[in-house]
Amino acid sequence: MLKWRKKIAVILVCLMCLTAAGCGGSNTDDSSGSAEKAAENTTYSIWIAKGESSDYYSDYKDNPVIQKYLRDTYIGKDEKEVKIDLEFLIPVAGSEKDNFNSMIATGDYADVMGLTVAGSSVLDLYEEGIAMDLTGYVEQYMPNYKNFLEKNPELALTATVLVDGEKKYLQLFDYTLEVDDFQGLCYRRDWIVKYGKNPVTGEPFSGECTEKNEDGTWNTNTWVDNVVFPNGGTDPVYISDWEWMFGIFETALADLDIRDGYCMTIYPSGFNNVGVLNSSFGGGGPLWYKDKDNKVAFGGNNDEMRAYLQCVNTWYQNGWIDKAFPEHTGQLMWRLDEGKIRQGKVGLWHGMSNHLFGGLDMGDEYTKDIMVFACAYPINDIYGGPEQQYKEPYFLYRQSQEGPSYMVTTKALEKDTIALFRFLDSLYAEENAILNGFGLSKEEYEECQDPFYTKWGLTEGAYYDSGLKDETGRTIYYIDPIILNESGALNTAVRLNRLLNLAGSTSAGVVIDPSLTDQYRHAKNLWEKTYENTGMFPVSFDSQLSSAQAKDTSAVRTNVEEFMQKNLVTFIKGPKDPYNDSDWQAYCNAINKYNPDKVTQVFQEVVDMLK
Amino acid sequence: MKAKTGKGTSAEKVKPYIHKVTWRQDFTRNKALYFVMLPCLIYFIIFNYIPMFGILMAFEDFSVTKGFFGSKWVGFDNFRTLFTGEAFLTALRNTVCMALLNLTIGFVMPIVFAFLISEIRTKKFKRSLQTVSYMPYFIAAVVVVQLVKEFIGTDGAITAVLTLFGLPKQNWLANPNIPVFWLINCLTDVWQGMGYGSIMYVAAMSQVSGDYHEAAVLDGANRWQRVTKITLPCIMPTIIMLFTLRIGLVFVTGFDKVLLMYMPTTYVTSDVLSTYTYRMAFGVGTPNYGLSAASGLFQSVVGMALLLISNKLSKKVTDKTVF
Amino acid sequence: MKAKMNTTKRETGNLRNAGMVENPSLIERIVHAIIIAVLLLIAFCSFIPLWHVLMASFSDGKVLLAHEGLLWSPVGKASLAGYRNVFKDASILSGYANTLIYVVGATSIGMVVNITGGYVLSRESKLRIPLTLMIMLTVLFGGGLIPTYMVIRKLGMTGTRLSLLIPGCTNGMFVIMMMNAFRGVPESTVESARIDGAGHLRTLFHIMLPQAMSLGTVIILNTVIMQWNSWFNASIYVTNNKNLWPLQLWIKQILAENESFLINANPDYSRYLVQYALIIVATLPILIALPFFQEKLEKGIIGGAVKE
Repeated sequence: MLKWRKKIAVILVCLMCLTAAGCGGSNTDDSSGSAEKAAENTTYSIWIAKGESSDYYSDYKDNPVIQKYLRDTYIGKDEKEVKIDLEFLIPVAGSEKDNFNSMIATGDYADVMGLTVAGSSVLDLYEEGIAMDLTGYVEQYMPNYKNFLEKNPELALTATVLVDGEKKYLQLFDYTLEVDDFQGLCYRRDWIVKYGKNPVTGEPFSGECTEKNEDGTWNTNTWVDNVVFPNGGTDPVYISDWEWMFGIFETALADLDIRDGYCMTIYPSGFNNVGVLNSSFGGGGPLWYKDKDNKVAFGGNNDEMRAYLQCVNTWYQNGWIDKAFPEHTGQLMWRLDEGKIRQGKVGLWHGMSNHLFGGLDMGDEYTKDIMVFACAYPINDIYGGPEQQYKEPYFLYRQSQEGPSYMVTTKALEKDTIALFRFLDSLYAEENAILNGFGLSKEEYEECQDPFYTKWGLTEGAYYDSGLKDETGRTIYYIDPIILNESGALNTAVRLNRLLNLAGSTSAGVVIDPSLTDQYRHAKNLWEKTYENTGMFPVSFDSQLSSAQAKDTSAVRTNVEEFMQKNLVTFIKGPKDPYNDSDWQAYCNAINKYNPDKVTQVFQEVVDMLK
Repeated sequence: MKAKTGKGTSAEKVKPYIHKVTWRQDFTRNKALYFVMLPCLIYFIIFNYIPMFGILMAFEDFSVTKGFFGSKWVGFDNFRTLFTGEAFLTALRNTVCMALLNLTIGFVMPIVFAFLISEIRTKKFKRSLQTVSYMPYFIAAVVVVQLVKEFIGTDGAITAVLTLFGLPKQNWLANPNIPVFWLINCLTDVWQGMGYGSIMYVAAMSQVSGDYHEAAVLDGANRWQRVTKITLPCIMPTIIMLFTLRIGLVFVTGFDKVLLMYMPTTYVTSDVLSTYTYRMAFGVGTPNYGLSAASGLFQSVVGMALLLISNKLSKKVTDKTVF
Repeated sequence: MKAKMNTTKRETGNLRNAGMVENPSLIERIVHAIIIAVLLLIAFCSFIPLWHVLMASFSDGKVLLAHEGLLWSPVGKASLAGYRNVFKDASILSGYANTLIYVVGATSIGMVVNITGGYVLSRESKLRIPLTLMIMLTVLFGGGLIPTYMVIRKLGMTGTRLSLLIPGCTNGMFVIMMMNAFRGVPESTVESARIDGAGHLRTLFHIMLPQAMSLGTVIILNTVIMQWNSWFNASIYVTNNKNLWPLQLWIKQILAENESFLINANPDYSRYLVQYALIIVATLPILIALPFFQEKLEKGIIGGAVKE
């Protein structure tokens, strides 16, 4: 009897748990801001690949900028003013592609979806009936978006896709007004000063900071030295300058007894598809690129690639290249082996703006009094023949004004589409660009007392007026130090970083990090303004391919890239030798079997069409 | 597991019930029984049989908007593409190789461990050893993979030990050469399953009568002879039963750890049928649901064939069947 | 098992011991020592990864990043920074609560299905064979992820706890196992219960269940482990309902979020510790509970087999 009762009790408890649990499961809560509730047909679901860390807010709707937009009203169907509501759908980290594909496959997709992890091109999605044709809506309800495109004709070229001979808008892009490259080549200037000698006179160098901060420490933005490179200038320009630097780094590493350090590491598969060092040897890139005359070429098996491999192979044999370079898989090219960089054991690397000057000084053994300078990608003057030497690179990784794209799906047709497009267009208004790109100003904060800003102490807004004006007469705003000093991702959490919009500094004002001075501007010049990046295809190039073209080329591209990933490492590390003709010929023959010229041909067609 | 020889279960013969009773009689007699079956039946129909319409995808050129019933029927085309594709054949080879490792090293290690444990007399010592050995089994796959990454990564402890043997220091998980990933997967499974898997064998060994052992010792047999001539034959039925069970399931299990451990550069050795099926639907550039469903169907069919074969084998060798 | 003599265990133990103690030759002793050494090594290997992680979780983040090899004790200044980071917001605790709900809920519902199904399949009836085959087929064949998702969505379960409690609560193998367990109960017992006037449910609960429960324990334990470790289903069905996420899914998410901590100007090295602290937080409870249900576990597994 007792056992019987016990079992009933257990079952009852479970049923209770069940019902409680089932009821407990719920969908998203209501928004915290708007007083009036939005109607069913003005609640739009937006799928974005990534949100903000739960350190800040778990529902992206709580983003302060989004909250501001939600407080406005938009004119919807029948000229009525309506309030809208947004529901953000964000996949679990690591399963973005799965989530996107399963939403599409089960027919359960959102109204607006980011396309960064989309498998098929937006053209395919349109033909499958998932992506909407936005042309009519853009023409009628998105004057800001059109305005921006008219002012930027090169971007307008790739904003549309050719469908049956007609140019249609099938996607909306995330645009930036002023691009600020946050990454580039860095090297240890302090090692050059300490261990190098003037190439002409043989005298040792000297260098030091000239001003002190308020707290008595040296202001690392005021470093001056008398370093001269073999090319005669104060910055490295040629490969020969680099080899001179590596010699000095070698001495430094030996003197400091750093066993696990190195002069430089290289990309784990031997090359990176955004070109980088490859482009120094003739200008073009390792895969498909277009030269100055808009002729498309393939760089996987040409003499430029060979010269590049010979160079890196020689460096590897000299012991200048990190022996463990193939292991840094999964790391972005500007974050290779960050651990070692932060320990101060590396001579030259592709890093970020926060590495510059005294940024890496942690006070420990090898980072004490570090001084990091920026440099541009070098120009080859040693390897290969005349065609591979003294050519400026034109295929480089640059921030583009054109960001990721989003589609509006046919699910949105069930709702008030006019209000939706009016809302999307407000994200592109130029007066909102600073709001989108940097966050709320003091006035905007005081209007709403956004709880997120209050929690983080940003009561003066995300930026403040510095009182200065720049060369063109614009007001200079400084980013609030709380944001700059935070060790997480607060700077993206305070602004509208994860959704399509137009963002950046405008004619009204420019927002910058106050700690970055003229020295920094010079560094930035070296990173971005020295060379033009004309060889790269824009982000949206793939969406310009027709279905047939995409089918023809995608297999070839994947195969070629995989083949190169497997083989180029062997030319750098061994056993193959890029100086050996038969090795090189065998590689070229093998890669030609995949027929890369077919892709070259297709791309040329598209490039010609776009002109 | 059903015993065919009438031992332990019904001493009476199984009545030839089914042949003598009509449907109507059966229903009246067993109304209550069938009623009790309802929750179970409903569960399996809803969550297993209804979704089976997805098998149709294997025979269609599945298009998302056209759905299951509107997509073009292509018969065995997907299978043709499947079997001629390099990636699938690589995945098949990897699955077979990993399965072989699973059936050899992976199967033998728990037995070896059981032998070692059985030699311990001190009860407390034996129990604590067993407890510690069970621990890895209860660690989640996500965590196990983290541990693997930690220990055989470039800075890992095991990597450091391997350098003492002359092997280069590298991130072994990123190594695409032939037996590396297979060994990693096999040894991880052994690490996790050795203790837990040995329970059955330890129990079986403790069932072997002490009299046999005593007699053997008196006859001058040493430990090794006792193990091979007495213990081993006695637990052979258990071994065979578990082995046949394993054969049947080897094609369909072990997916989640591989999914967490593999990466594009090691697909050539780490991709298995399950992950290939998964990737074709979700991970790849343009999802190919038809191909994915075909691959899944292939796996199921092979799994079933293996199970039937192993069942027959088991019947031949030990007179017992799994089903 | 073939031989079942009537000597009690204690007797055999003594006999064996007697045989051993009389003549331990040198070789025997060495072999015994080697066996113990090997076992200790195995125990060591089972345990040391967890120890390493435990030590890492208490270490100083920056020093740990530069460290290579095995950890015997925390490196750098020992700190709880990693744990503080983990418990910073309620996600982990919410994950724990949810996992507990799913474990208890799914196991109970699963057992209801297993027991009823297994019982019915073990009784003679005209439908027995077709039903058994039907259930067995589901072990190998399935529609796949997308059709299952569509069915669950049609039922309105996506985004609620039900999607994690019901669909994955059991599978064909468990039902078949329960069926075999019930078949193992001697027919005579059932007959006498029937004669006493017990209906099916009474028979089931009073008579058969206690006898079959050893195998049932194994099933329960396996379901518990499955539910404890599961994250994949949650990542599909309740992606956007963070308040319903189980523990392992939170772990996956937090690990991914903390991966790129070096990107900032002032990297917070305690984020590097998070992955270690998480492992400890996720695994420790089960490991502590292990010795307590170890006996039951062993009995269950053995019981299930010995029924042959």
